[in-house]
Amino acid sequence: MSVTTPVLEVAGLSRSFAIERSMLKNISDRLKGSKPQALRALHDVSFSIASGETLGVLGESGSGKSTLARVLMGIYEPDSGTAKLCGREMFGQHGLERLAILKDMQMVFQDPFGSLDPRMTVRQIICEPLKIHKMMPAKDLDTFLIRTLADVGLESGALDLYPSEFSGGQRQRIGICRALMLNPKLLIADEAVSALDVSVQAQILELLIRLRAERNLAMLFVSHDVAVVRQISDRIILLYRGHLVEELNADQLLTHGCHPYTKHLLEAALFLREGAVLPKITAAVAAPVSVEGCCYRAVCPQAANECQHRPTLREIAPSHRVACHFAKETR
Amino acid sequence: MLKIDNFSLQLKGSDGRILPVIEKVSLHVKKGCCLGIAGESGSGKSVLAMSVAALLPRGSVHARSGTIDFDGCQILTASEAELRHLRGRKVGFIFQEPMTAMNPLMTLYDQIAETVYAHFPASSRADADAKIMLALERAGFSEPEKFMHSYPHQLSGGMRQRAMIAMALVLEPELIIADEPTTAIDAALQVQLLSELRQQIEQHKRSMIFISHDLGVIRAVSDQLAVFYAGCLVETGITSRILAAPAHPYTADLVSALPRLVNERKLPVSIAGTLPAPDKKPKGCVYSDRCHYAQETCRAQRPALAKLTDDWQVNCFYPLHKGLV
Repeated sequence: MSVTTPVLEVAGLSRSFAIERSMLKNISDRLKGSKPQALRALHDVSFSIASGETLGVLGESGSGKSTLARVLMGIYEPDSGTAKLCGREMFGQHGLERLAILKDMQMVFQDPFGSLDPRMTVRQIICEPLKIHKMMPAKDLDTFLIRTLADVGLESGALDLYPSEFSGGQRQRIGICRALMLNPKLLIADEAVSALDVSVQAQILELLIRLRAERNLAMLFVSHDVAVVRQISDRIILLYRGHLVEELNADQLLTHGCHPYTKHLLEAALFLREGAVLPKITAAVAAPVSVEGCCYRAVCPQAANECQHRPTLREIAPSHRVACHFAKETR
Repeated sequence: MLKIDNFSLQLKGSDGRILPVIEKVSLHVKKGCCLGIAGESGSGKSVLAMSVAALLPRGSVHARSGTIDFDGCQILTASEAELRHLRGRKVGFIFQEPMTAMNPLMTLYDQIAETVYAHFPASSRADADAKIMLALERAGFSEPEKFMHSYPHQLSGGMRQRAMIAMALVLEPELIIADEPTTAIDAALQVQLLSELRQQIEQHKRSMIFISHDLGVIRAVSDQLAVFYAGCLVETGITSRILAAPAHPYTADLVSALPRLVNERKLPVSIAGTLPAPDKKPKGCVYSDRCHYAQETCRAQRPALAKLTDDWQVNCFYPLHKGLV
């Protein structure tokens, strides 16, 4: 792998889900010859992550951020698009080849209770990836396990305990430990700190930042919490209903974020975090499933005639891309 | 409205241990006011809320003392019939997890109607319908008819949370107890739900107890603040004043653990160590083993809640300031 090859390179990723409806309705649709409706959870999303870089993914619930993480992990198949992990195509691979490629990517889940098997000891949990990839060290297994546990801030006594004997924060450490066992190049963290108390949240963020520096880990950090994502990321992408609407450096989020949706999220977050002025509340609009034109048109305060045409994602400054007709170039 | 005085609660652990989960807590909630309760998981904040609505299973309670007076009714000594009259009708409870608090086999309409008919068995269908529609509208459903007959799994997380709020509001309770109602919801929706709750208090003169570990959310919604740590009330007073200048070291640590959104990017500061188990609390101040400022006195003796100013109380030998800021 040359220096310039990104750890992850995603291009044109789309995924839709069939909308659950009554069978009768589906049949009548078929007879009429209209296509069954689909919810596009991801629409032509492209981005890349460099070695050691953290990309934050922001969006509200239903924006497609979890779908993105799951498509990358192979839990869902994409409808179209490509994703290269360390230069090797991930999709369309099967069996051992796929396993070999996915070894470089591991996931940390949101729920520290649901993501650890209650009937397995910590030893079994963190050894599982090694077994699957047939990488169990022949000797000194315990030394290796204890060293990795210590890396995430757990003591060796934890090895033979069950998940139920740990607090939420400690369980999340076990989950992170499991993800590190194969020494991956990319960590996908889907709302990894959202279920934790603020005091513990800060501990886990510190841990992730330390590990990232020590192991040159790249991270895809998915969260709905603007403040957390900004703290930990180098770059941020914002998703709205499956569309990538803005991409920029984390340092510039507060000052240069310019998509109306970005601003809307920022206002709400600033109110909650910093006691800023209460933003104007737009009633939750059940926007139609597929809108022509700009995806944010139905709720956008700036919407105008131009917005009937879908804006393309364009660069308005170095490493700052926006999908809005009204974003001004600032270079 | 609600007066909790010198309330202590000991629960029985599953292995027979006796757990002092709440120690000598006194709190008052006035009409038209919102009291925010902050603390980590395990600090006793949810147990306190459950005690106010008398929702704890009797079998798990080892001992309790003090009084909880709700509008003249003594919760701790009231009969089951009196309590049933309170719950749902005078006290509305918004639970933390809508997925487990709702019945998956009942539609939204049926779940809310259950509360109505439980308290007013003779109400007509039209009457009940009107109440339910109003509650759903107040909880932020713009077109309630569209969602009324859905089952919980057909709704998004935000909608389920709003349905919970509608269930709590349907009989116009005088006191709303909200236990982490907005955790794991994105900011825009949180803001919306919080302002809806806030409206309920201001326009209809209800009271509210709002529980959260997130001080940002508490600042947005509450007038008074009570900070809990390991079953003890460590600081209480006016929300905005405490958050501007916390006097208890624990409150200060909680504030700095919050991720910020200011121009300068600084990582939140974590609090080292963990909350002690209820039966393994330090002998002195409950926070002494994690506190930066702890001294000999703190480890030897337990401080008592003391007045800093008229409306500001702190449970600390060495408060960070004298309340004159």
